[in-house]
Amino acid sequence: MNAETFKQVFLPYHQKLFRIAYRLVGNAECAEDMLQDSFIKLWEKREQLTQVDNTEAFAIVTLKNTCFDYLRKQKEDFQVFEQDIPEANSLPEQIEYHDEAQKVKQYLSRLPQNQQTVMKLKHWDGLTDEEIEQSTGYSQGNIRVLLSRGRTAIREHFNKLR
Amino acid sequence: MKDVTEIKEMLDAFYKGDASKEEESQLFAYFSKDNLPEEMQGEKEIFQMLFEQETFPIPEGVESRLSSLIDKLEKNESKKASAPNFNKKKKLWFEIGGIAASVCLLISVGLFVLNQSNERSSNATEIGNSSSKLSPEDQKKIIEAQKALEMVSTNFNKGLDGIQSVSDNL
Repeated sequence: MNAETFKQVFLPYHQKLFRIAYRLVGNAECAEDMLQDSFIKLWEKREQLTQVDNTEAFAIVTLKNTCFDYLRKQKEDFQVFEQDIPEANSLPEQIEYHDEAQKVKQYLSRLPQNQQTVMKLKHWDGLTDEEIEQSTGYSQGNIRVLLSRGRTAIREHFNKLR
Repeated sequence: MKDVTEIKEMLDAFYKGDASKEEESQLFAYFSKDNLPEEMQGEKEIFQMLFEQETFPIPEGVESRLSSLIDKLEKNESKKASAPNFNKKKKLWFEIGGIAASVCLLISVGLFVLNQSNERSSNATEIGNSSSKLSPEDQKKIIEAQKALEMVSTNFNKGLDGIQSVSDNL
């Protein structure tokens, strides 16, 4: 597989991969580093990739492992790095918030990290349950539970406010 | 249009994390309508809030940097493949060094053995004044030392031949 073919296969995934990396590591610069490291790994394995049916899933899992290795090295518990959740001023300037999104974002940031990650990947990044499983390593059963808890918490919170 | 009871059942499944993609799509479609019953207005607000996306632009240049990275990786691999094979020559010199070291070791061992035998035989001659003959044991040792030296000499010559042929091949 030469560079051109490799790019044709994997570059189209870069946006989704970037968003996943961002959700996992918490900042844009680091997310791009994770993306580049993952692409290097994919390039080194490119001859084996001809046997892979789902190259997108393979790329997501590679990215997930890269992010987890990074987080492990940072000696931070993946589930407990609330301080790394991007605040508005660390995000690109073009980000816009609607009022409701801002309210939900504020409340979401108080939920346990695993619920936050799954909620954001599902609701904000539009990933399927399979893709969330590949990105996080959580089983689909676990994902359903996390979504249930996150959604219910938000629903109850906003019902109380009325 | 689905009735409120069906929508409530789908909502229950949604909040349990059990709604199928089809059911989620139906909920999306239902809550995008206006003029919903009063009891569903609150649910509509919350449902839409959950999916109100944080607009998230990808930083500029991510794709082009990835593309350049892949081009660079390919270029580096081509350079490595076409470079003169200095590692082969290094290997040859290591082999020559190894042969020379082995030969030196053999010579040292042979000389040591011979030296030991000579010392013992000269000691025996000094001590045993009545006999200038070497004991059978000492004679045996001298013969063994001679054999060792012959072996060393043969291998040394072989080693020299080997070095010569390797040197010719460089």
